[in-house]
Amino acid sequence: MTAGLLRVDGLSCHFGGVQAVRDATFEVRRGTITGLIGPNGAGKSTVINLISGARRPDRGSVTFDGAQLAGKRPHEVARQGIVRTFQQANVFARLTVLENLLVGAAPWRGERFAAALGPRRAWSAPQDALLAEAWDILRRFGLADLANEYAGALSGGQRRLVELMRALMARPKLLLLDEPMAGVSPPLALAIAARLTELRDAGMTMLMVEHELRLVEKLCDPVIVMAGGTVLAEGPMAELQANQAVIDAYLGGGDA
Amino acid sequence: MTGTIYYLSGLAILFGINVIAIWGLDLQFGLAGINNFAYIVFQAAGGYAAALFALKPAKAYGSFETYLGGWHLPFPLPLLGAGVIGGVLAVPVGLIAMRRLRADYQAMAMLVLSLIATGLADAQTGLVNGPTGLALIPQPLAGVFHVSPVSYNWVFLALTAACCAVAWWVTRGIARSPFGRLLRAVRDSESGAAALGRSPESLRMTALVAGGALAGLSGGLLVEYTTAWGPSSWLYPETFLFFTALIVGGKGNLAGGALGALLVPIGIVEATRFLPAFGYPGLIDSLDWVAIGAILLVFLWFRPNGLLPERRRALPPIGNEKAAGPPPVPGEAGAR
Repeated sequence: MTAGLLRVDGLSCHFGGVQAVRDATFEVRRGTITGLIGPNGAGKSTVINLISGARRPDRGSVTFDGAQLAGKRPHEVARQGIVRTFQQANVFARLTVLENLLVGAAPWRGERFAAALGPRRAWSAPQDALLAEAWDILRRFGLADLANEYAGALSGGQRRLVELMRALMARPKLLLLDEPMAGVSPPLALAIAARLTELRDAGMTMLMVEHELRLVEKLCDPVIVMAGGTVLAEGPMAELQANQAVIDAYLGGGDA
Repeated sequence: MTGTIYYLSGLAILFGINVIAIWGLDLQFGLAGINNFAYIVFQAAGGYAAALFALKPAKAYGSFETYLGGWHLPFPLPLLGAGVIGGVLAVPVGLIAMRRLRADYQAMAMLVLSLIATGLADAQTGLVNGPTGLALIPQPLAGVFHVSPVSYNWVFLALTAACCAVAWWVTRGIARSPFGRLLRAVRDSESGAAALGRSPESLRMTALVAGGALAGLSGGLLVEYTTAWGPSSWLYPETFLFFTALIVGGKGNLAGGALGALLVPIGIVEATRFLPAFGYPGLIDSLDWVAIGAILLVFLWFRPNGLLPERRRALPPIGNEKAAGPPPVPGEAGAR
């Protein structure tokens, strides 16, 4: 068994009187697509927000690749190598698809303020390298035709793809996916699933919140089940489907 | 004839000064999406800085004005100082208005800062001579060129053009660069930019400083041209004059900003000067503001991107076309 890349320990967070996450403890192992499932209000998205720094935890720790993340700001977490996507597709609407991807690239010298005041060649050559990479990803995802369209002009499913491609430009060590298939047509969802599998086979680690259980079963191992802010169970999907506590809390009477 | 030339060259100077100010606002509002409703304060700060750097100590004029400083620095130091002060002012303003607050509250905080600043300048007579304002501000190089006011206008026009060139270089450099792209990304989605490792706070702050420096420079030029400056010249509605110009011309577009400068502060305000007087004194000035407000509303409703909208920045294909991976996604991709 490979070592844990991310370890969440005793994480808690409340909104007003609601305890959104209570003592959540789990691990994400390298090279896995770890699923995070549970009923609405289980605290799945809050966990993603806590890991990515969008929210501060009341208690608990997030250890990533040996570094402590709890309390860090979102951009600091991202610089450690964790890139996230959002429940509502979050693209830069008045940037083209290609520009969205370029912003995704890990921070580089030519994007600094000083380079903007210098000659064009201060940033154009390194940008061409990023541009080649961006085109490559676009072609792999079959979106090259839309490269120079505004991201805001795309369909909901296409925006999800843009967000995913943009995250890949950063070459993250861990990708946090908050319902990447929500609102996506079935064929596109399958295509996204195929890309995610390829990425995992290439060694990328992912933590994915998803409601479409057939996709979770196909993609994710292990799967973490949350309910009422706590981690209920963890294991391969087949095992969870036989777990009475999971069935009671989420999967229901066998027709899920 | 000389009168017309004097008037037109003066108009050209005012146009140039407005262009610099509007480009500065474009950096903040058009690119970075900051609702800086305190923009006029940056121009005013530059104006006061240039004045105080250029004036001799108050005693030299028989102490009929009271103000801070009076350093009597030679050209071009007062102008440079105006730009520096405008940029430096952005730091406290940004810290107060942009940390912790969301965009709508940022706008509110900015507007309040603007009101506080006018109030302070008005009430503190020892600072910048209170509500009366400063007069007798020396003109740059007036001692070098011993020429008539008409000819001096050409000197000042050349100086304004040089400042416009600097402003163009800064604004265009930022707008076309990867840094400018990051500003536009933060404008479109702060959380998205942060999730990709960029600090929205520091990007916005940089834009606020750069735009503030241009506002300060424009204020310095304006004061050195008019030789007088008081709180009534920079009341908060002036901020909306710049916003109107930028929205009418087109934000995120340098030519749009220049067009806006030509149409709104120069076009409307100057054109109505030639209307035959009617109504009570000051009625036409008030109607100017009504017209400007109405134009702003019309553009916000029907043409929010302005006459010359921000251009889509298409980038060329680079890399190996044959390296295309699996076939395109069925159904969705490629469809519009």
